[in-house]
Amino acid sequence: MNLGELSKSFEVLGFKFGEHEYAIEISIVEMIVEESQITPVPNSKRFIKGVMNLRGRIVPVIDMRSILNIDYEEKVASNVIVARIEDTEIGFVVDKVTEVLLVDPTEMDTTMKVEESKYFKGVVKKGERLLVFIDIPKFIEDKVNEI
Amino acid sequence: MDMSQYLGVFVEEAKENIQGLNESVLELESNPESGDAINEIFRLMHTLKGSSATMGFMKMSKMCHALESLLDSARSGKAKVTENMIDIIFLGIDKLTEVVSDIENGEDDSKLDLDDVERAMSNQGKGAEKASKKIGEVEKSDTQTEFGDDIVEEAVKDVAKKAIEDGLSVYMVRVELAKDSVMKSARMYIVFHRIEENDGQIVYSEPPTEEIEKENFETTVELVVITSMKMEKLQDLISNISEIDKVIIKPFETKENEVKAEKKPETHEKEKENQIKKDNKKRRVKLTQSVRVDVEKLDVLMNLMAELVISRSRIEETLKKYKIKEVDESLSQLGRITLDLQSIVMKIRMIPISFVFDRFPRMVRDLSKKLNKKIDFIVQGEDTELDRTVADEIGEPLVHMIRNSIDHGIETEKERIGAGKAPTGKVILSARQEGDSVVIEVNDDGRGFDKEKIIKKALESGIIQEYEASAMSNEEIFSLTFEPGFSTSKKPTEVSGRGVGMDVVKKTIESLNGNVYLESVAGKGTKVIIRLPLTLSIIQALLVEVGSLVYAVPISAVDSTLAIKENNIKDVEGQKTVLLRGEIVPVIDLRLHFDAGAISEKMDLVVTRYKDRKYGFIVDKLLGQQDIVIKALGKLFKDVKEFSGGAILGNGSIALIIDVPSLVQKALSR
Repeated sequence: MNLGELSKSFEVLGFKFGEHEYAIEISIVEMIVEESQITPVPNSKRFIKGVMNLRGRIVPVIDMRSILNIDYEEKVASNVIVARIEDTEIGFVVDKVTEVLLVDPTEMDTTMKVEESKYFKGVVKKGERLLVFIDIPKFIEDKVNEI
Repeated sequence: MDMSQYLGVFVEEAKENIQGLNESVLELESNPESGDAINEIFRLMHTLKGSSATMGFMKMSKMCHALESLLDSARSGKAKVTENMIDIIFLGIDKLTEVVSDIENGEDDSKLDLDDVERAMSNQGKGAEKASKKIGEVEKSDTQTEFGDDIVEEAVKDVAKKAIEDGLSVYMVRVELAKDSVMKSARMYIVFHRIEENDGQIVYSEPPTEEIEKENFETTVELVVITSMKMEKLQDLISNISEIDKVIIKPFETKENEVKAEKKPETHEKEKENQIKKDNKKRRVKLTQSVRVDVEKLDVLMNLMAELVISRSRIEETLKKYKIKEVDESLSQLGRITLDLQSIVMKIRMIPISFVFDRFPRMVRDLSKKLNKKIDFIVQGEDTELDRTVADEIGEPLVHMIRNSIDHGIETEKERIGAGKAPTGKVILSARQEGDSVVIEVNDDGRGFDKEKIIKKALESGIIQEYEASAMSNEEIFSLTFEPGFSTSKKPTEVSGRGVGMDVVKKTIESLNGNVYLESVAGKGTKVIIRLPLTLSIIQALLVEVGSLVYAVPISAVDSTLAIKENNIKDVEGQKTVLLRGEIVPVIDLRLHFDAGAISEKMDLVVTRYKDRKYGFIVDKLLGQQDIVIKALGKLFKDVKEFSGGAILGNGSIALIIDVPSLVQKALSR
């Protein structure tokens, strides 16, 4: 999704870590599941939490905190957003999924620079709420190339 | 008429025909007098010509026709089969191969270029003049009688005569099936099978087998059988099959034209052409019943099968808690059925390795011509079966290996004579099954590898250090040849490049869960041995517990297991080892390697085998043996070499599958 050329409204999926809100584009989201048993894979990359059994398939699970560069203690029961990126299913652990939001282009600010991560692509303003928009496919692409 | 729905079948068949052509032309090249080979080429060309014309690929059809005409003079005995002729035919076959792959990719045959072949043919001299003229003509509907038909009569008589000379009996057998028989072709299949099982050979059948297979016959079939059996025994053998009404057997008369009398009169005109010398090889009648299945469907079936295996073990585990006696029996029955089903599904996916091997004789021929080396190429065990997925992947590595053997291994004729060897080099490609694996070997009697040279080279390219070199075993030295950037040949050639190759071979094979070694004696030859699993998706594994997690070790890599105590483990120069029946075995503590946290007093040792050496893995607990379905971990785990995949266990949790070679390498290099 090229954010520079937004002219129509679009949908995002919002989620939370503590009081902070974030959003990702909805088109890549396949499903949202409760976090179940995640098997760690020894000696794998830091940002990978492990693998989980998703209806008989083995799906890698990524700790969303590593993308956000935040140090937020994990809750016991979290949500996993399962996204499909380039035909690969990948799970992202988040604190809590909030809702699907319809965003009008005027509510999206791409000029605002956020320091923490190069995967922050802008901020969605919904009344009083501010959601940081994250480019997940870019993150995965970079990481796969790194490995 | 829309033929597109037949395109898939056409491409499949065309490929088979072309493969057959390659084989037959090679046969003809090595034995230019072979009438059988010529006939086979004609038969295949004819089929290809007909089917391509039907599909509307007129250029392709023309090409077949041209090649057919080229051989015509040889068939009628007017001209000899020359090397030039063979080259043209190969050129033509290559063009056909290209066009078939074009068609497969959704194009048509318009790219096919007849000029090259045409030019070559006109250069060929007067023998082929007639043929080259024919090239442009559009073939009219083909009313010629099928070539095979008329040749058989002569062939049968020749074969029969020869058999009688050899002291065998030849019988005319007339089998009449019951009028109400429902599965006529199946019955006939049994008849054929019975005869062949008892050393009988069916050299002729009317109607032909293809027709029998299609059930295109009434109730009577006539056969000519060569056998050492007595007439009565043959009679009994066939009469015992159900739904057979009558069996009439009489000796086959070679002088009387018994078979011929039943044939259409026009065969007489062709008689002259049939005076080609027959080989001893008899025309074998083949009758199998088979269905073509899309590989994708098989993959789906395999996945479903895998799910079934998982669900079954899950049910089993759940029910175990309740200890219901009544369920036990049905559960074990379900277990047996899934096991049977699993083995059948796997068998369906198996294909003979000839699927891969068949293309090599042609490749070797071309290579040996190009490099001007005489090669005797021998293929063994092409019936060995392996999983389709493995077969698909193994082709390229084998190409590399055979090329290496011929290019670097086999010396020039002069060098060979100088070294007191036979002038013709020998390359043997063989396959065999050994337990759960398939072993493929490429063996040549060329110059071999010089250990000193390997070490020198490896030192030069920085693969090893001076201090390592002296302590290396033979095996370790030879395994250096698989390192990236290694090449002993001083000048890279067009054929096998420069040092890329063997490392790619190794990578591909390891990605298939196999391994590859090299053995060589300088001056005598080289042997490259590949060991591959029969199938990729379901394996037997030993489940072990490390920390709170379960890991799977493929049974094929496990040597033995035993309980050990802390004081059994000795520290030898920084490496933990145990003494096992007098053998010092290095051990790897998986609890440390996997960072599993608290280390308990109790532990077990899994002894694994890698490259003929033993390595011990320390685990917390052995959990038992189980069939597991391998699933890939995906590209995010590319760097984690110690796991070849994951498996879902009965309780829904995931066990990572340990890749023993990678783990050993990684752990010991730490």
